Amino acid sequence: MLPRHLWGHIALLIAIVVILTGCGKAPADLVLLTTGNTTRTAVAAAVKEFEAENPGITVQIVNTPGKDYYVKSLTMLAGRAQVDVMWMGQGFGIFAGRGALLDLMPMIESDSGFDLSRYQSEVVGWYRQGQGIYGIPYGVETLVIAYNKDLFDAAGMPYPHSDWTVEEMIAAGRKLTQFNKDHRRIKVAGLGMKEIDYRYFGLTLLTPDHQRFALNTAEGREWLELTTQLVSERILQKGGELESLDRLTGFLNGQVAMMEIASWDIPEVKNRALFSWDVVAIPIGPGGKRAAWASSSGYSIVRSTRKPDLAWQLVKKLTNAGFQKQIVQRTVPVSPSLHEEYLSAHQGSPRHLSELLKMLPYMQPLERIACYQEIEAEWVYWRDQALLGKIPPAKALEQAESHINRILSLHTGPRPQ
Amino acid sequence: MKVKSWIALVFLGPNLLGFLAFTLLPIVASLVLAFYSWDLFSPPKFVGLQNFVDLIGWRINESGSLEAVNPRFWYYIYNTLFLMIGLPFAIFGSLFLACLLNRRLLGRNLFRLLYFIPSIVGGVGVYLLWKWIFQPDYGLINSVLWYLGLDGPRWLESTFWVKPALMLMNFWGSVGGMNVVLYLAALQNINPELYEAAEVDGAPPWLQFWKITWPMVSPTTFFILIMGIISGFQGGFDAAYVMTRGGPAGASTTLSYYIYETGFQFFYMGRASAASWLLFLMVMAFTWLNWKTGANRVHY
Repeated sequence: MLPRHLWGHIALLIAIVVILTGCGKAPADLVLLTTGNTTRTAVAAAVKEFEAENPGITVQIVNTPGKDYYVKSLTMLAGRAQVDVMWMGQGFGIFAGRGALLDLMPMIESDSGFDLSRYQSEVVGWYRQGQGIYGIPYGVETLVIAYNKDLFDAAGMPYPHSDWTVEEMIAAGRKLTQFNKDHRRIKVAGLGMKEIDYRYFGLTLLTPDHQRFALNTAEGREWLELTTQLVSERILQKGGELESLDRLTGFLNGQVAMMEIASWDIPEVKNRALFSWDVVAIPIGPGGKRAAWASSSGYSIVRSTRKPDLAWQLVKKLTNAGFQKQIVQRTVPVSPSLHEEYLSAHQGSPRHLSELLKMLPYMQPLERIACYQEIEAEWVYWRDQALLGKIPPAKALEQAESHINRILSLHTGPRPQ
Repeated sequence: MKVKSWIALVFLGPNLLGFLAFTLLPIVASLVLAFYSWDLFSPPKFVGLQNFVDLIGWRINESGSLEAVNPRFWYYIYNTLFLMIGLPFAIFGSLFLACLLNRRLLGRNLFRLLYFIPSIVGGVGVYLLWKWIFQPDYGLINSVLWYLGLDGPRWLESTFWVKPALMLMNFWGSVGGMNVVLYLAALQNINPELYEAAEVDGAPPWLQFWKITWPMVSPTTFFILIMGIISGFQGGFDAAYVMTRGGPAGASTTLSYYIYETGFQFFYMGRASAASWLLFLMVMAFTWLNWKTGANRVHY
């Protein structure tokens, strides 16, 4: 039997543990998962405003760096941690495809103060699944080609124009690529991209119903053969993204004449470029079509929330015009009425920023399906095999088709809500 | 139960609870999960040995020949083993450095400090630095080679060079550090009378090393070898995550990176657990083999 004084010690220990546990903060009414440094201040301000409008309601903001955001969020949800509202970008399919998000349609329909038509309809469409809407966007991200005007001037070449074609871009890339005297080292890479995006050629990775791989066609082979050839000619800066400290290093050092940049890169290039530069729309592809990668940022409500009405109020606060205006320096607002404000916030370089807005009708987002990350990893594996010259492009496409179709067959579409 | 046992339990309790909750329970859970299919959201579904078959199984293909169900898993095992080729070089390098630092040299303490630095520098910072050093167009190594009239390889973007590049970086990180400290301690424990006797007998320095130093530090070598093999099997994740994302074309994907990718990128928790247990079995088998073949060559 335990002596009496030891029981006393154990009781004291338990009491201390209980007291210390009680010292923790009371759980918040809403937990908001978000990411990124650029919107941190705007999110904090919106939350503060929300708390002021809803006395007694507290919101805990959990900010996770971009790289690990989806993994951490999914793990939190799987662990049944309290999460009510979460930031949502191109990983939307991972969550919506697993039934983790709440359909906002009933709230949208019953909220007379909320007007969905103020948001760009294509972008809202990216958050749809079946009849439901599982997120409200606040910003759009898309691509433009940034070019070093000094290098164009030195080569005596005209600047690219809005209606240029992929052929013209490749020709300009060839002319602008400079080697050292012995032709061993590249002084200037004409095109600072790992590949010419298949979207430029009017191609898609998967069929529209997301059931099959779509690149193993004559057009797909032509595209991959051309890209492989440009890599071997060193017109495309192979692996630039992989090896530089960041994607923009080569361009900012004046060693890349043209490269794709995303809307979020513009402030950084603006601050760091020591040469004259501008942007131009993505070129028109061989079929006369124009398309570029695009994504969107927004907020969704987690299905397991116990306070959906409060969460909806918070989502509105985080996506409304006031919020979009606050981050207009970094993100293209999803409300077309704010586009002028976006342009006026970026005075000076790049002179033709309106080219970025011209891309908005040609946006082609990633396929928002639950297994997209696996599909992408498989595709990158086979694409790299071709770009590195280890197997012919036709063989790479054949292998990618076989493996990707197998993965798709294991995930037969999004889960019913 | 005696009072002393109760007191011991009270003191051990917090640690024991932590071990049960954060180590033993996840280990058991991962063993159970290895027989299930689970994507974190749907209820786990029992699939028997399917996860193991998906990883290491073989099948007869359409042309009638035998092929691996998942050839890439075998490739990642090969990558992991390939990266461990650097281990003997690191062991001999550490011993060589320890022998130098054990001599009465000017600035000996400064050199000891310098060689220990790679062990205390933060991993991610070092990987970013090496990423820059390996940059093929304006990185440090290729720039030096270029001035010498040589064409440097494209290091991290070449399927052939990415593994040697990572081995070179690992060699830099492991040749100094803790291994040198262990060897220094072992060297200082050797009785100097053995060397005095050898000198009296006229043994040259290399013979002294081979007949005295090498056998006397063999327990340390054996320990470093075992630990090196274990960490070699488990390693490669952080470098792959920061520097190459497992590429190009999977050439730097190790087993630990594959487990992370399968579990936390593709959400096949069952398959990732099965891969973890296969990794454990490999480590155990290699360690057992080491004990069987190496332990009797160690002089205690």
